[in-house]
Amino acid sequence: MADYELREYRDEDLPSLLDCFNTVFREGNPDHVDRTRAEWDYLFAKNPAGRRIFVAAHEDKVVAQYAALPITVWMAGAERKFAQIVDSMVHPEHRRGLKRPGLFVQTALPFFDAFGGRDKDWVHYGWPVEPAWRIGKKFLKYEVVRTQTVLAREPDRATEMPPEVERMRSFDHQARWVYERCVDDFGASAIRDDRFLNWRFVENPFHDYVIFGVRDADTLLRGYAVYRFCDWKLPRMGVIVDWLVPPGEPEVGELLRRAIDARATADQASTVALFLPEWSPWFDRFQGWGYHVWPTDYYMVGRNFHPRFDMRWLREAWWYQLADSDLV
Amino acid sequence: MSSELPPLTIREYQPGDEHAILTTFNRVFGGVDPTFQPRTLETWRWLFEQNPSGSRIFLALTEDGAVVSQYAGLGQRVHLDGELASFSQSIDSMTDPAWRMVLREPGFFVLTATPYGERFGGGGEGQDAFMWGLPVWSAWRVGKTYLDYEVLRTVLKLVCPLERLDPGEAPGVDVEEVASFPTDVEAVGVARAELAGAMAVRDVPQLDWRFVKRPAQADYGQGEHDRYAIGVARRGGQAVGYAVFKKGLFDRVADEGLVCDFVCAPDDDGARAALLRWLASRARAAGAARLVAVFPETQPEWQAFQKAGFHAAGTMYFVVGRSWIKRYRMRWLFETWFTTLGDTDIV
Repeated sequence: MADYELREYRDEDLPSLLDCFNTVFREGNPDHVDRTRAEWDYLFAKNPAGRRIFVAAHEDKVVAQYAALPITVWMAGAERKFAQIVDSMVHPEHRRGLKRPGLFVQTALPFFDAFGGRDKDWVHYGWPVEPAWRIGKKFLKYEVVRTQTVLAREPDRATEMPPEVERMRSFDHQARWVYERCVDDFGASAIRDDRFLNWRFVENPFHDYVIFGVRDADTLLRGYAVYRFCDWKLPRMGVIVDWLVPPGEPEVGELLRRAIDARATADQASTVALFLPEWSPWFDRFQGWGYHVWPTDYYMVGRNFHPRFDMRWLREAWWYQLADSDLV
Repeated sequence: MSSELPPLTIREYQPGDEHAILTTFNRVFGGVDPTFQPRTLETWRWLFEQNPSGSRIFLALTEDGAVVSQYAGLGQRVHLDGELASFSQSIDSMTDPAWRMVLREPGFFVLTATPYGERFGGGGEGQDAFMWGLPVWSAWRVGKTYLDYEVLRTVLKLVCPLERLDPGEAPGVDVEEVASFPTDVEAVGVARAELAGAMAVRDVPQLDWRFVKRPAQADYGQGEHDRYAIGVARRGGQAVGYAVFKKGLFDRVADEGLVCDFVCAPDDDGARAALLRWLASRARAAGAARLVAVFPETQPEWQAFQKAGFHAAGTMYFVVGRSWIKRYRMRWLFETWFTTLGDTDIV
């Protein structure tokens, strides 16, 4: 059995970590484009909520990683941290390096000890593929928050871009004001402020996003929607990655709905789609706009580190959308 | 088990145990639900003795025959991947409160559930390929820790205020309301099952047991509209589908117009429209403002009902289970198992 050092990431690990990452994700994926240092910096060094990385090192080289992208969440009257598990991997030459549980699990276990707890991250979560989900369920105490559905329909191709809707280039402090007018409806939610939103959508080196906003006569932001045109579950999808409108302002939602339809029509999108918690008034409102609820191949899973906030609580109270994921 | 415990016997149900089971059942559930009506022997016999798909019970008993704990299931004969097999829905699991503190971990619940699973779980004769249920949260916490329960799905419902219903046209299809199920509905169930990976057998004995012979006491209501109504859709005299309606409580909401069962060919738009029209008329007559149905979101009825005006909404329920045959893993069941509210003991 090989010797492995299981520990938190150090700056000098980066070259071998990127080598490992690109080796792993190149496997069976002819479309893989090697991750660059700049892209890694964006994800893990520039995330305003911090970083979470544990590695297994063999002969001073990274051969496995368990990592997460943290988000700052407003919950139970204070800022907390959740973290989305991403980019977990084991180098192909080391997948048999440890008996069950294997190196993947051995790398993850100290990660939870380091980062999960009532005084640390309250929730770790993700949308794993089935093999990862089975390991996570068996060894890592992951549980189902919900069987993930998606709201989707064809764009309303008769819709024109409403002149009241502004194409925004970035977010400013007013984003937080919109969030503050919504947050009382959420038991837990990633804080939508300019730091998070600009990092997630404006500075993102992987994808281009379109941001639509609606303002009042005093130019105060009343709501926004973030859109991306991409191949995701279907080719040529128009995806609403983030939607933040106070439920009591349906006229703002209607303007943004029309803007999304107009943009998706211009993109010749096959479908417009988004994630919403089913308890949100917007879940029903989107169905009123003709969206249907469809199954996905995802379980939305989590592990809570505060016993009071278990999966049932999270299912009934956590506002998350695709913006809280790295899926699109 | 602790050495200080009085001697207990853990074994399968034997005829005559039902009296002690009912005594404990009525004490346990009467203690937590102020609206609880004590279960009668008639209802118990209907549930556990008269189910054409059978039942399974394991008990922990004291020396004098009192029931300390029960793990029980209602059998479901199923069409599974082209063959006949068996599932069971776990219901009525209980431990006498006086004994809960005696054995804290893993508890009597686990002590009865474990041999139950070993006896009844599997692919052999008299065994269930899949055991499932809609647990309360406390049972789920124990089940996932000790009994290998997994979540199959978090349950959504389909809701349609009657004024929004747009069922479409139903030329040439009539719906006849019947007192019991005619034999030609069996072919409808078999045909629907051929499109699903798994689906409970809907033959006349099973359907009549579930919806016709159910004792009134089990319905928690006595009014005309609290009973099930059965509509059979016919085209040219031949059954092409059926639906079962009842007004009742579901997901903490009273007086819902419940679509308790609904089976027709998914591509038979006319049969579906006729049955939806009948359900709406039944709901109006019963004073229900909306129809509520449950289908897996992976089955075609899920989309067809949305096209007819139903909206999806969350519920308090989640389906958990344990598959005893490896190839029928949870994801496969999630994608292919057809169920309605009638598969559960909720309505």
